[in-house]
Amino acid sequence: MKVEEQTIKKMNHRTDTLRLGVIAGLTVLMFAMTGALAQAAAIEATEKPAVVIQHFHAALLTVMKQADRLGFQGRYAKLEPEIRHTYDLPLVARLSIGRGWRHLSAGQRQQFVDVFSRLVIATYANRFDGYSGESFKYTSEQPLSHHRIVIHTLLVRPDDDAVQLDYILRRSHRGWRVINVIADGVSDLALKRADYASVLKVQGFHALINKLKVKIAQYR
Amino acid sequence: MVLALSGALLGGCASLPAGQVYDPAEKVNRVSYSFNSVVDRLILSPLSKGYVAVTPKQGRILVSNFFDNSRYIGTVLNDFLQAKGKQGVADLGRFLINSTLGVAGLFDPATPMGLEKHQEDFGQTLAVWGAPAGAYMVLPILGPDTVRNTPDLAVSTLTDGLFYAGFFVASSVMIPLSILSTVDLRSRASDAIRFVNESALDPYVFTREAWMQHRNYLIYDGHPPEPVYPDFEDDLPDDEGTIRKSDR
Repeated sequence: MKVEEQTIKKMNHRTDTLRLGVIAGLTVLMFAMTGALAQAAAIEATEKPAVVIQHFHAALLTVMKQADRLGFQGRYAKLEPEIRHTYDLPLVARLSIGRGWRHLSAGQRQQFVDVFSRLVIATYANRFDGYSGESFKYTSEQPLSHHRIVIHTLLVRPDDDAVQLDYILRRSHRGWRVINVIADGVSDLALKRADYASVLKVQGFHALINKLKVKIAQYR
Repeated sequence: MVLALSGALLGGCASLPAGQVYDPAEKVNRVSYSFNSVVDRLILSPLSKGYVAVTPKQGRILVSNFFDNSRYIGTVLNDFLQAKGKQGVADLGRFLINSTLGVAGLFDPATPMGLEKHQEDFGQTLAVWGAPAGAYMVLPILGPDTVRNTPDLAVSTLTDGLFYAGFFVASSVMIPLSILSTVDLRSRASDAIRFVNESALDPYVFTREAWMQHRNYLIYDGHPPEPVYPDFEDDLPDDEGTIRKSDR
């Protein structure tokens, strides 16, 4: 009898331990799940990369349709917040300079990011200066290494061949941001890198900044 | 001698870091680039502007269609040379339809029938079969090129219908026709040229980079493999705040 009681007690003890273990495990699991859910919610809260592009294209079309009324300054003002939201301008600026970035002082870096950002916005305000039936079409997307994705789109023009616009976006703590645009296979970032590197090497930082400022003035 | 030289030019690019163009003759190339810019500013650009001013858009489209069609056998030939049999048959069909129904290529009834336009040339064919690009060069009048593309200068001439028409048609017709062909090409390139003039700090480098990239895009039929999305890993911060060794 005694032996049996002891066995039952032992078994009860085991079940208790087991129960405790299960409860503890479940608690940990629940915490983990809450964490995962919160994380998932956070990711969900950031715009999907295709949506970032869709919003940007919508903003471009709006500005194109009012281009004449707005004038350059008006287009610049409307596009500035959109471009600053869509692009990771500090990173694009830095990538545009390439290896030369390492040799710039903190002040020079800040100055370059500032001038570069204004150039990007001025370029858009200058180029998207009218509307003649253009539309943007999302075609596909493809994940790339290092938190990047490419969104393939088409700029459809009624009287001309469509232009293939591929946006490379990178995920940062601010969400998905554009770091490069490739038009019919020609990468904007690669063009700038080659162009800026050449000026930086031969003429130096101040010449580069001055040339960029001249470009901005010409776009007005 | 020529073979040895082209061998040296072709071989030279093997050790080049990715994303850089092999341009050993940059000094000479810059001279011909400047020469071409002057020719363009003084002759081609004014001709093109005049042409665009006096010819309505619809008329210019007919002209472009006509010259594209006269050169299209080159695309058909290179489709087959690149072993793209299906595309070759479709492009041959496109050529035949546009040459007949399309009134000697003035109209393009083939596109609405689903026979899209392609762009293939002998330079692309050589690339597809693994020939390296070789040195970049700027040819006087003809513009940017690489060693690998030079045989195409002959192939594209020999596959242009107008080249053969020259044997039968009076030069009083052929000379204005070839001028029109050049003006047509220039007018179609005007957006790109405007883009270079507006954007470039160093137009020579800018054009070289853009041209090389666009060629690669054509070689891969609009779908270049990932390496064409230039690899900026060395410059990308690993995570927010942490920056790679190379940047310190």
